[in-house]
Amino acid sequence: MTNISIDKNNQLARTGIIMAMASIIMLFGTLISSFFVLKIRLVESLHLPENTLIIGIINTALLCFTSISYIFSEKMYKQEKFNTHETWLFFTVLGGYGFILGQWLLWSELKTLGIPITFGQLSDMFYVISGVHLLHILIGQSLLLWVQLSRNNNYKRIQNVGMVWHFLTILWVAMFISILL
Amino acid sequence: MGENKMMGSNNNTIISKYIFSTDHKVIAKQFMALGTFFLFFGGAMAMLIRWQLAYPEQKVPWWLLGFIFESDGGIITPDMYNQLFTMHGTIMIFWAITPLLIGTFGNFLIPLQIGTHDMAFPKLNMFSFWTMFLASLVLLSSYILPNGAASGGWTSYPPLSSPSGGIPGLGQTIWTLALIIMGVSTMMGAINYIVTVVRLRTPGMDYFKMPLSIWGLFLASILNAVFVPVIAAGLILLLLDQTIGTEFFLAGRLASGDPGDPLLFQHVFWIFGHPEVYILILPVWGIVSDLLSVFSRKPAYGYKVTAIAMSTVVALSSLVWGHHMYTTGMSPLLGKSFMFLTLLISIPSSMFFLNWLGTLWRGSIHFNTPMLFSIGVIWVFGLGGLTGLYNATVTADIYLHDTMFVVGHFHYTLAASVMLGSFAAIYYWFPCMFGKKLDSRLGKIHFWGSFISLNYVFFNMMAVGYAGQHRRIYNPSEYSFLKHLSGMNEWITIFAFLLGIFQALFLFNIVWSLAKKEKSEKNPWHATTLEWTVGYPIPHGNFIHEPIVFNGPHEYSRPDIPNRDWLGQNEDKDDFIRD
Amino acid sequence: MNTIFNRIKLRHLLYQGIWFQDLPKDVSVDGYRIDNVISYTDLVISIYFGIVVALLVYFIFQYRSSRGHKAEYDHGDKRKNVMVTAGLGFLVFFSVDAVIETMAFKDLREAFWNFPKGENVVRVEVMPQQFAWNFCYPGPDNEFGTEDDIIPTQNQMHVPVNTPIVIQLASWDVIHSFYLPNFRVKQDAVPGMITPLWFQAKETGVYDIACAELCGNSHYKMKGYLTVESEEDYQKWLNENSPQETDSDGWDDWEDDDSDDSGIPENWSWAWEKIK
Repeated sequence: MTNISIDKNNQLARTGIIMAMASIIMLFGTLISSFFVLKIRLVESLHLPENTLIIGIINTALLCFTSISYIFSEKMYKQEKFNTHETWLFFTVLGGYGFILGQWLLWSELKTLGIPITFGQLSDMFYVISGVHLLHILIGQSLLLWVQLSRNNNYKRIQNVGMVWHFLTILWVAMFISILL
Repeated sequence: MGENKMMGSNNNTIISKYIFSTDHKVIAKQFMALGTFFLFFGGAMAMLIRWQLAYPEQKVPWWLLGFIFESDGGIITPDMYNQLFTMHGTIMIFWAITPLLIGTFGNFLIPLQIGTHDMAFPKLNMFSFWTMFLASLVLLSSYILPNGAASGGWTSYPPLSSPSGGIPGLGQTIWTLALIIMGVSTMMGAINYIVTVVRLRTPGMDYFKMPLSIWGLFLASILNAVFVPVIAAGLILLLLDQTIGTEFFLAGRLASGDPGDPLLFQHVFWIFGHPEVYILILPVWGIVSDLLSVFSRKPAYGYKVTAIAMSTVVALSSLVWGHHMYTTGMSPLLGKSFMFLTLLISIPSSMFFLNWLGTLWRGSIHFNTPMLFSIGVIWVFGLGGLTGLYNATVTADIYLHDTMFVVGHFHYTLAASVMLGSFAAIYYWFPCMFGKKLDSRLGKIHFWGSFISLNYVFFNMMAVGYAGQHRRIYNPSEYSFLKHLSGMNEWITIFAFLLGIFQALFLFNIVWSLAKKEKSEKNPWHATTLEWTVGYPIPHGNFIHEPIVFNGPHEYSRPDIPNRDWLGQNEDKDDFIRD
Repeated sequence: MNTIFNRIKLRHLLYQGIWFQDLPKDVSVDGYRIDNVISYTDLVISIYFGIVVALLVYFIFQYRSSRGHKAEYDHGDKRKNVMVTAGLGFLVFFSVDAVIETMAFKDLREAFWNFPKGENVVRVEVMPQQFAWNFCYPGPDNEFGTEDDIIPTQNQMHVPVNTPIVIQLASWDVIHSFYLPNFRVKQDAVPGMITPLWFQAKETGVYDIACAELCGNSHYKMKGYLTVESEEDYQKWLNENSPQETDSDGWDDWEDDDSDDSGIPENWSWAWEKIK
């Protein structure tokens, strides 16, 4: 495969990622809008118990950290400091696993505190939104692993995967904040 | 320049060539097979529905597969009837039209007409087909459940479609799951098509040099990519309501805790649902625009206006969903806004419709089979589109909502227009796909039989709806105000059976023509677009050398080219012009 | 086969198969508005579709290739062409869309959303269930939720003629739709919501009530009867159905596969919601 062809593939991938982002925004947009419709009809807010809230905030911060660490790993790759790049990438991947675990912990905590997924509309929606998001994080995590384990990366591919991951981070932060307002 | 790497690739085994192929042309044919199967499956259901409406509670004859109903004494039960129209709608929309138009022609035409070697993501393309196949298996599995398939209408409104709505069994749940999987397949396809059109057009193929078929498919894909996720979200919530006991859409007595909102589902459904109907018709609009040009030997009138009008309709279609919900008790202001926006769509629609007529005007019309079907689309879409005006009006809709009038209207625009358009496309591109032409005498008989039956069935369906017959009822003669319609219902059924018979003729034509030895000449219609430059069989990778486009797609009857009435998109006119 | 061929008679075909159908008899005061907007739409659509068909036929004959003329190489994209197309599009919009919109807005404002107020108004609460219609009248104290509320037999609704009837709809279980074909009335009954509608009858008689939203296997049998009668007859009927006159259980038996007793309490009515 010539360099031109790899570049073309990455360009195609980037356009595809942007289109996929549009679709995913519509998906989560619908879920969030539904949340707000239910919220208005019930004249309530979502009150997560304190423990759960803390776990959620820490987890969100963790996810932000993984985006930052990925940015560093990207920068290092560009500067051809491959060892540092791999270190930052390692922390990103670790943080990704941490987020997945953290969400799981959050749900268990909610359930233990007597708020399972069938408790009430608003908390149910929280489960759905965080659950669907986590499914997408799994895809993102697979992409991170792919970058980590692949023998022939290139800068554009790393940028593309970064786009996906940052998108997932921003999505989560936006939704987490709007649900709790 | 642009040496094609795909030539000579090693797809040698049957598995990689025909089953798990990543070649868009093979995947197109796979979608065609799937779509055709479900077209006949959904069509058979329509025949049964019509049987019940014409001859309520009478034994289904053997030639209508009466043996299926043996356990109920040979008649269609109310429960079975509800399943029939539910699955008929679902299957025709998602499993017949979408695979036949968007799956088949999207896949086949887009790379060829824009001059590239394959889709942007060939493997994703393959996954998209097999995901659809999985969705088909899931949907069909609901038929072997003890309580049968879904029966809550293709709109599946909760609370009816929730377990507490009273429909027994898992059919509804399986339906929801099948649709979600189908949605994933559609999203994959849509993203693939969009990236291909945006990024892989061959040099010279500007957006306004693309055939209008590509415009139609491209715009449909944009709607798919944007709105299928919306219904996916709604269906996920519905699936949770149906399985683990959430109550997002339950209210009133059926809700045990905090009430949900049944209307929320309707909003989410129709925010997707209205663009969906445009998704289904856009490819036809594009294809008909192109075919009218080919067979009038005249440029498509107002090409740019048509493309922009189609795009405007696409944009407006996202704002009008409330017109499906006028009777739900929405606020007056909301109702008026939806009505106004819905009516606005008339303007761009009229414009490209007039452009169709403009293409015929002063043309040199050849009445080949694809042209007959295209002219048929002008007729049925003209009528169908106009009858939309009744439903757009809030007050008229108070009376006409949920009557057979609406059913007649959308069958004119969906079934009649889309079917005639799909047939036009199949007859037209058959030589390109299979190297043989479909028999034209059979084709013409197929056209007239279908055209007359379609018009009879759906015009009179509007008539009975006008008289007040409401939808989804097992036996209209229960009501005194509908008793006089039994004769007309019977006649609609007779013509519906006729319609079915002509489709059998079509199937025969396909099989017979494929079996014949006679091959079609290259570019039998003397068309200008790139898919006709590659001959048959089309090699893997389509073009040996990357084509370069000089002209638009409708360069017919150019006065400066005296000895030919067409100029290919990749042909340099200087090669033909005499000084 | 016999069934079909026995019934094919030419007269049958002519009277039943190819004639246009009439709207059902309209006995409401405001139904004519809907009929008018439908008639106007009928007229303009016939004219426009007629023009399209005429053009199609003309073009097919005039421009068929066997006549030997060469096609005209015209892209139709000059400014003049676009203006004509746009002009025609706007002509259609203003002659059809704008007119029916104005008619509809006017009718909504003057009639359908213009709920009558005053003493003479009869208020009824309608609650459909799977698969029957329940009605509740406020009784002599004109208040809902009190002991003198009148709940007649299911599926039997009586109203006085020439009197505005204001209805509040709420569903007991799934979504139903209250459909009075002879009054041009249709409104969805959604569980968890109360939706209002009103109409006024101008002729006595017995008319159909149908359910216009799929609600299950017996959706097609969810039939009711609306009796429009004189004021005296109406009062007589109210008295006959008052709580003191009837047994405690006024339910009719209805055939239904699904359930025997849906658990609707006797005093199911709700406090009347103010309609703005």
